Amino acid sequence: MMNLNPVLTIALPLILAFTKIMYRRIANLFLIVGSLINIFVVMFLKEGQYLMGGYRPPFGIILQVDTYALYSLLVLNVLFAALMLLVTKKAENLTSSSLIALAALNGLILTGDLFNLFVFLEIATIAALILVSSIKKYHQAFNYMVAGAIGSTFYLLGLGLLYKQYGTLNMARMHELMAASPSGSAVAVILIFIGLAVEIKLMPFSSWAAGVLKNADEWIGPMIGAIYGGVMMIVVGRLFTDIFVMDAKVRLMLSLLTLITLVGGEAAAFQSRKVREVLLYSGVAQAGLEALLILNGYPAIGFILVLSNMTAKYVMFLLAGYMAEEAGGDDFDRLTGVFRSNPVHGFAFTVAGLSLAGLPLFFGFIVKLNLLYNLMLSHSYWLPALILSASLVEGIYMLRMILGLWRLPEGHRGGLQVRILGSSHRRKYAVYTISMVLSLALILFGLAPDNALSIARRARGADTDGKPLVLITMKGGIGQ
Amino acid sequence: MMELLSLSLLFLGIYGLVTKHHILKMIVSLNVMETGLNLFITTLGYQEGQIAPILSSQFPSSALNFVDPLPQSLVLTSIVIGVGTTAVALAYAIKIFKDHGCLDLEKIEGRL
Amino acid sequence: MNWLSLIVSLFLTGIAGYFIARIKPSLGAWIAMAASCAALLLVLLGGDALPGGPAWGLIRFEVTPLGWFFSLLIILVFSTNGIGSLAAKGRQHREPVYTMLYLFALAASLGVFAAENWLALFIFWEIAVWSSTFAIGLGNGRKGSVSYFGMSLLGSLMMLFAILAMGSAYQTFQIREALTTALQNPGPALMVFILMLGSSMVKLGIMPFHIWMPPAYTEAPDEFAPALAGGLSKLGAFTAFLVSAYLPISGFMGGSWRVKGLPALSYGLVLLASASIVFGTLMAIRQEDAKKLLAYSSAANGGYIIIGILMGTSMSVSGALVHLLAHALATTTAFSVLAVIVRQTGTSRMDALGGLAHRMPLTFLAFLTAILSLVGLPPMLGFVSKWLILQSLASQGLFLPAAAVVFGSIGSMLYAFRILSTVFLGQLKPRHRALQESSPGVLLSLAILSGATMGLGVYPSGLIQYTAKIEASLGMSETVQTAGLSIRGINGNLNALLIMGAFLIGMVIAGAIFFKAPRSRKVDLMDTYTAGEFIYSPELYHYGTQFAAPFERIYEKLPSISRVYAALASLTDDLGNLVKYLFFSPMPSRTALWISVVTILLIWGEVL
Repeated sequence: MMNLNPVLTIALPLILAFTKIMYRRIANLFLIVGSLINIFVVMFLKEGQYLMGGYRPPFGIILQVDTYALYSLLVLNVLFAALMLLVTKKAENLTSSSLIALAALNGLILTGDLFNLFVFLEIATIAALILVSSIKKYHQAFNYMVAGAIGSTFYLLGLGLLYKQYGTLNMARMHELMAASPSGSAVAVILIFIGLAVEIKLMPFSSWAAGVLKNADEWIGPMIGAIYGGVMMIVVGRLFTDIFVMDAKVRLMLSLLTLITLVGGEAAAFQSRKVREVLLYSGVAQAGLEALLILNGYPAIGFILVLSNMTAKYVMFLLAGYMAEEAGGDDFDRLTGVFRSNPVHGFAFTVAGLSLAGLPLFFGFIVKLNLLYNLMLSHSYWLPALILSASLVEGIYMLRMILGLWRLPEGHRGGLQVRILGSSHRRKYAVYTISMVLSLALILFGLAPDNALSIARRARGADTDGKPLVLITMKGGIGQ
Repeated sequence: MMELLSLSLLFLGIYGLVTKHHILKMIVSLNVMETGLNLFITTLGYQEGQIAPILSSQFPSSALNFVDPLPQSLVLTSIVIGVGTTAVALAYAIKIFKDHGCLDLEKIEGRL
Repeated sequence: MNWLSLIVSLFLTGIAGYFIARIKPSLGAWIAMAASCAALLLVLLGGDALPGGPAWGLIRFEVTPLGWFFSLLIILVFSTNGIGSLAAKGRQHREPVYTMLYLFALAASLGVFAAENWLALFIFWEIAVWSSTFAIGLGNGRKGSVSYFGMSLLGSLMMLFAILAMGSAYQTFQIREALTTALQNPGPALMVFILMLGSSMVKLGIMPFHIWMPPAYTEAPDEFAPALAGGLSKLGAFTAFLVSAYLPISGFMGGSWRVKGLPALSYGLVLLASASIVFGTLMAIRQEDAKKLLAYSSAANGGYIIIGILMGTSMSVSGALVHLLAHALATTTAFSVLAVIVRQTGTSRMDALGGLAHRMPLTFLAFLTAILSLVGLPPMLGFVSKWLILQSLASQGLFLPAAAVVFGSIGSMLYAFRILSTVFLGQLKPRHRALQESSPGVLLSLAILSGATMGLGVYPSGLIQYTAKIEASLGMSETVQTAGLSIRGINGNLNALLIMGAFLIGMVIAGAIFFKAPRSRKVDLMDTYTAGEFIYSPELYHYGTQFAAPFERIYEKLPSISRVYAALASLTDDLGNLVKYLFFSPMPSRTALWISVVTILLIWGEVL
């Protein structure tokens, strides 16, 4: 068995990104090959700590490969590589920034150093800004930039305060010191949370997401809406589970923010009448729920929720962006009946939507079931009730949208009305393949979720309070 | 004292971001904010009466009379990133100006 | 053969059916029919001793008498409807995906009825919900499927909450074990009961939750409406039986707060169900559309079932089971007939029809049995069930619910005979002269359904004995008794055969008068010269036109629950708008403002 160094997942895309500049003609090849090699590297990663430059742990930068990072990396790189199959002429200019984004996202997951995290955060943001500029909505992108800049400023400010207090930037060391004397660190933790809240689209800070994702094409949508959001949430999962120690008051205040996000996001999605708007607001709401779980000591559930939402959202944004581009818009009225003539797209979109809404036969259901069960085990009834109410709203708007896209327009008799014809064949088949494969994966994991659940358990065994994770699996029923 | 000064610079930048709608003014505010932050982090490592952390013939060993060098290196990185962000922001500004003929976001939004 | 393989093969047939129907659309209906008929055969032959099959993880099956009864009911509905819709030329019916959704809904319902644990039950329940939602979505209109899904989701989330509350409190998901443990440790018992019963009520369309029925029944494809009304809405009754049998209210609410010997909660819920009967009846009387009328009548009939379940006596439970079957058979018949009519005339508005009995006499006969059974007249099955329920209400001295039941029965005569006479009797409209009798397939399915309605109505003992078996399997100490051919009641026995005999004598006399007396002369609808006026539109001659107009003002005062739901939806919309306005402005300065405000608040909260 080979044992590859995780730094390859960061360095390779970076090297490719800069060598690409010299070989403009085969830029696409660089992109595809680079992302595929990355999957390969991730498959041969072994868990452990990897020191950079040979410094002993608290001093140098370390990369940390644990189960959590490993499977996050796997999902991220697979989703990313799938997106790269879509590269068209338009996207060629974005080759470098895509590769840089990949490097930075990998780095975000891997790094064991808080300042290093900041660097990757900034690189990822700048790469995202360049990617986003491809949809030509520059003032929306500017909004994103300002929000991101304030966010990272807050992150760095918080980090500075933490460094002042504890004198280290290493994550593991920080956790030890913080667990020993947590008092006085609350302000810094709040600042860091707010900094990251901008990236994970928590509510008062997520106007940029609306602007960008409303106009996202089949390339930007999955990238920003699914991959970026997911990775940032994984980072939050890492920081607020493994590293920072919060007292009950801070936890409560931050949870309040996530609850507002959950409720507000669902309401905004309910009110929307455009496919991408529905998706983005529901993404905001989901982010609220994920962050809520992470903050309140259910990191394992939060983790699989992130991964499952990421996949479902990816498929939906991909198809929504594609349809919007082909049909010239994405309001429900314009797209009514679009799936009739494109049943494959319809199938994938429907599966992803049903999974997102948490209906059985799909992975999302298993996640939701375990989520609620664990919440109830700690004898809280109001939180599950609230989450269920939110998922009622979510189910209604999701099904309303999906049914609308399947329904033939009024007064229509047979035949095909809206026909999607890919402008390029490769793009068309790439969209077909990716969405089909991922939606089938959602069904597969829905039918046989036990492996995914046990990975979550390995990644995030006990929760922050040391309570063991109890899972309802398909095979064995309830178990620890 | 230095901390407070640098923090007030930071708040000034945020104030600018909240109140201004002109893109260039916002970019300037961003830079002010970043500068404030960088100054603040630099002051974190500063200790009264200590010297620069450079090994020389005069100070051959790293006994504890150095100021903490880490924040300074952080700030170096942060400055570089700030430059990158500003460059992207200015590129946006040019694009927006080309698209809309002005740089006032309020006018642009009103027009849309 | 076992239950697991039955369900799995139905699912697989559904998927295969989709692909076959894509190649040859006409085969889809045949596959749906053949698969459901094969399932019928299997379940009939296997009986309730059919093994559940190997456990596939959580998915474990166990065939109980109650589950078998429900399974037989729903397969009967699906297979006869499958036969009946073979000849349908409807657009929706020809969609390849329809076959798949139809069989998915059937398979999932069978999964619900034989599930060994609550999680498996819930999984199949939800699959049934979404597959039927998409099937309804194949029809016309946009409201039906969404309101059906929204309400169903409300119901299933209530159920999920209850299931998880039991699971987390008692560490078991086994259906019987969880409920009986709840009975012994009544912590969350009340909550579990209310939520479970609530989810049943949603499915059955009991009053505050009935709003999905009228739009869903009218907008569903004509071929799917019978399966939905007759079969799928009965899912709710199944869990209601389970919950009230294993977690009876008297078990956890005990001695305090009793009304007329019933625990106050039972009495309140019985009153709610009674209100549903009254309300459903009133609304049904008002309708102009035959399908909507039947939808409200279903809401009323759901009330009988819930009352029977909640009373919890051997007679009432048996009555609820019989009523379930009677209503399923009758509504399936009625909706199948309406499907034929809509297919031929393009409408289900009552005033646009009339006199169809002249063109389709056999269909009329089937419809007649269904209506008689719905109203609860002998010699139909509906009479037996209403008799049982009324007997037990009377024996408990529950005046108000009994009054509601009687009101519902009398009211149902008003609306059910109205639908019969407006659609089938009276004069034929000129444009309907070319109508044809239903196709042989439809007639066969109608014959099976009305044969069952009448046959069981005349000879209910076998059925009653089976309900007694169900009661015994649910652990009820008393079961309903039969004596020979009659059912033992509290103040007398019901001998349906005797009633049938009396009925026959009456029929003979009526027949003699009919054949002896001089025939009346048929006058054409538009033949109005004696009236001295001339009206062009045949609708205006129809007494069903604006039938309830004189009462509209009274109806306006009735509280409308759908308005509450509409208000909730618009409230959510408003909240969404507000959120978008406040938090999703495209101005960066707004974002900066929010970040600073929230930061200040959080840090302030922390420092305090």
